[in-house]
Amino acid sequence: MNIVFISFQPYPFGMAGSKRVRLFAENLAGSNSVQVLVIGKDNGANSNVGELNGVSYKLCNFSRVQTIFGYAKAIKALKPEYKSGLKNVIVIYDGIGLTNSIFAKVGRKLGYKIVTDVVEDYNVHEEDTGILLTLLHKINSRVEKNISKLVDGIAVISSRLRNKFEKLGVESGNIEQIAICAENVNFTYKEPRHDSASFTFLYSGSYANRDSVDIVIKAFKRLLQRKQNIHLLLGGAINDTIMEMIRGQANIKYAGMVADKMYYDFLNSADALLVTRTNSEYSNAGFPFKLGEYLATGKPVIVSPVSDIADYLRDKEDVIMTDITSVDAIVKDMEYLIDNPLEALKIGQSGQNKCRLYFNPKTNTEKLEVFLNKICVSD
Amino acid sequence: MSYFGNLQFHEILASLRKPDASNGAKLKVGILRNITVDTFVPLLKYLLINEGFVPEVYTSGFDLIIQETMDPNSGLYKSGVDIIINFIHCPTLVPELYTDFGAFISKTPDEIKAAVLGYYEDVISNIRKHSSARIMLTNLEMVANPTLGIYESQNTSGQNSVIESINHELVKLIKKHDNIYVIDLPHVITKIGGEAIYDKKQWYMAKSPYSVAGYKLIALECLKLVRSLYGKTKKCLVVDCDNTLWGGIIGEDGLNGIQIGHSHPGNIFYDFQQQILNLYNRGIILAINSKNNYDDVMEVLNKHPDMLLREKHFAAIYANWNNKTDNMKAIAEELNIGMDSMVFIDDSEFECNLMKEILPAVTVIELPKDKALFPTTLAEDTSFESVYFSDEDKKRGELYRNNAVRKKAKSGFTDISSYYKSLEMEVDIYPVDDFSLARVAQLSQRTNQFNVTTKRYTEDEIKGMINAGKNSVSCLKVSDKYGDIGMVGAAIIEYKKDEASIDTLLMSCRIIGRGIEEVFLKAILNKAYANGFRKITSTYIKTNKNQVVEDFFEKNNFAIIENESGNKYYKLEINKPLEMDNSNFKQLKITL
Amino acid sequence: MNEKLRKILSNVFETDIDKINEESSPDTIEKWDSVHHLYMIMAIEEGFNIRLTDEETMQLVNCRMIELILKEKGI
Repeated sequence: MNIVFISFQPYPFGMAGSKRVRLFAENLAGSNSVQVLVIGKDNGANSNVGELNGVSYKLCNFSRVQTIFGYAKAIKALKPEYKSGLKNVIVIYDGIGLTNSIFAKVGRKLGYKIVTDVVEDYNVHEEDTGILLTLLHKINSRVEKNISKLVDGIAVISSRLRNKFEKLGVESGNIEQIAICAENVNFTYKEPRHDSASFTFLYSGSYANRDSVDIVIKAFKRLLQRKQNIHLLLGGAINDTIMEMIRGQANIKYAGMVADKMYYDFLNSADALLVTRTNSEYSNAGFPFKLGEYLATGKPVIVSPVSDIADYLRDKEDVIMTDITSVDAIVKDMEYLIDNPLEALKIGQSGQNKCRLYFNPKTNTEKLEVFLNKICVSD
Repeated sequence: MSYFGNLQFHEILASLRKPDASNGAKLKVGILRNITVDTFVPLLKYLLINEGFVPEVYTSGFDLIIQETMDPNSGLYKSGVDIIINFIHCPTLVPELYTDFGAFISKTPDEIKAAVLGYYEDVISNIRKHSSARIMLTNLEMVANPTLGIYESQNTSGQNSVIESINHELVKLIKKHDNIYVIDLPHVITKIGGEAIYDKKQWYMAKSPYSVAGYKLIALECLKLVRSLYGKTKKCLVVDCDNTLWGGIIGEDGLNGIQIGHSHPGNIFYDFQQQILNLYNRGIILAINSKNNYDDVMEVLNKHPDMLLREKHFAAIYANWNNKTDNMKAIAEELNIGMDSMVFIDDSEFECNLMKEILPAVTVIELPKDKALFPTTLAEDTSFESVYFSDEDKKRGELYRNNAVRKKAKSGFTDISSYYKSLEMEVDIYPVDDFSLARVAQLSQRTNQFNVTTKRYTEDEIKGMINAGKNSVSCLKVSDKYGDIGMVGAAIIEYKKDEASIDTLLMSCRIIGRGIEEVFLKAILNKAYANGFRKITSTYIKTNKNQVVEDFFEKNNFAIIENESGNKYYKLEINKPLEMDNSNFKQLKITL
Repeated sequence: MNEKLRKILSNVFETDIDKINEESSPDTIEKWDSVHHLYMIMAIEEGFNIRLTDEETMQLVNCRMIELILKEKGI
């Protein structure tokens, strides 16, 4: 097959979205021709054109707004990537909306099959989303209503999304659920020590209300009254409110933005990891990308059970599922890991095995490949 | 460690970034390895650059030793490599002998031995097919915690026994070829210890087994080999005498007062002399460079019963009052040896720094404050290490001795003004008081060399002088950037009817030669002038110890009135205050 | 920021000392690759005469963290 990924995310390096596209692209590149088109003005820290691990990528320099009217530009971008003699398919990352539906239309005209990989739901959003973004989402939802006419297949990251698109008229055979992929699934990590005198919890990510980091910090501070030698590591772009909460606190270290190169070592330096999205409709439609990477380390993970997590992982066996609205619950769960080091070890190992089973980029990409093939040969 | 100039690792990295301005010899080094050697490379480069080379280092791919040696197109052989260093980490190469050791369950000791030696042979023959470069190979390190524990030590079949015998065979193996040398890891571990040589963290993170300290020593081993192979081994050791060859100062303490012998602390110096004698027997040329009366030094060398080193061991003996740097130049010329083949050893920080400043090509060994470390300091120095040793070497010392023409010391002119300035000397000349009284008396009793009249006084006598009011007693205190030297000079001027007479003028020999004598003299002369005296007289009473001041007054413009069997009487007329040149001092304080 | 630390990092990463600040990380400093990261660990241990545990070395993700960890060790 000839697969062309279209994404607004930088390539090959950027945030979670870039990683998802890259893991798919690189795993497909072995037996397919794979190109990535980055739509936008800027390819982040990457060069605008290049090739990495068998995948060639290119920045198509036009703004989001231009994409809406950019019929000719879209042809200019897609035509050269078309390879006659192969099955051609476009994979549009992160759903069909106002600004990328043009590629679906143009692509179809040029003879590509169209598939989109959906990782979030435009119809719902968090309360603290800004006005402009909310407006954009509203418009995207309108476009999405016609999705069954725009695309040939949809890859979704959660069952809720599957349900949504089935309701929108997409045949269930044209929907495939592809879980998150953990890049570090095969990294060898040192066996965690269970005889250590200290215990370190780690949270890395965003600090919006929906991430409930304030609750985590409150819980940790409460636990500090009872337990000595525990530490909390925070990574990511912190905000002032959270900064105030941790200012001057011994045992809480803020690491700032952690470079990609250092990220997995950073995770591995802790004893337990936290994934704490609130249980909103929005978070239930997506799936926490981090969870895969955290599980891959073999450390026990405390997670708020959003989305399909419970389908893959069992509480107190593979992860600790917590109630992210309750400080007491989190204290209890943190303490459980500290007081039961052997259990913590077992949970971590079991979680790691589940990760290797469900969140392995290679197996998930194989699944995607089969799906793409199916779409290509269908009418 | 001093070979790295006490620089820390990051400072060594920084120093390598400065563009190399030297016209040193290019040295192409290739490194083959089955471990990470990123820490080793900058350390090796640093040592080579300091030795005067311009190194170009090629590092092979990780664990591709056999492949790269076999491949004629490998970067290893490009453009004539000079030295190929093989970092063969045996715990990686033959885990059956190290980590996987199970008392030879899978392979017998002989099988392992054969496999290891075969590997080394393969590496050597592969290289020799493509290059005649000099080859250095690491050998096998011992195991700090053998699997069988104490059982090991009681039997000949344990891990370490096998390792030792492989190392033994390895030496035999390299002797069958030309230009192949062993980098001896057990030797390094003996020096630093099994705990200090490894960095477990770096091993697990990056497959780099050794600590920075370990790599420094390994780099030093390589340097020693390179030095020896490229003719940079030093040839001549030049030694100081007082507090170096013996304890104490011969000029002050006399033959019976210096410490050399079999009881403490003389036994330290005896051991130290033994080290030096060992060098002599290895063919290193010895010379003396000392600020002393020539006869005093010869007396020790010939008459002292407990000396190990004698006149015959020294190819040149320069004992005089000249600058040691001038002496050094004379020694080099007389013995026809290059300055960069000479090693200077002295207990004085001052002399060592002066030597480094004026003659940077000379290797300087500064002896530590703790005398007990003297023998080790010399033993650890690598200047004379060589891979060669011949009968000729054994006889060399004698040869030089017989052929040398011992010239009288020449006085030379060395521009050391800038060095003096760098010492940041602070000189304080002040009238005696109750606190300094005792020290003045002490100095008058002990000082023999820089002492024009050698009059001995007690505290009471000096007190009496002060009370009588007819004398002016002045003190001299000196400190420099290395510390406070204390009160090191005293002068007594007697005020007669219409002349001032210098009764006593003395200084500790520690500060002779820094330009302080002139300043002290001028200070007391100006004081006399200020008290109304225009005529100054002085005396030199000759003893067998104070030759150093024999012509001191002449040099300072005094006229000789009388000269009677070596004793001299002087006179000086002053019409105005004498000008002081204080440019060599950071501070000159005169409060007379 | 600790001046001695800045000097060490400046030497290890071949960067002007002015460019070293709390936010410096492998993303902002060109020479901060895996080899120089190892150099950095050795240089810090030698420079401050400390031994870092495995966990601590994994937390040396940027200068801010390095300072925090040094502070914890009493520097």
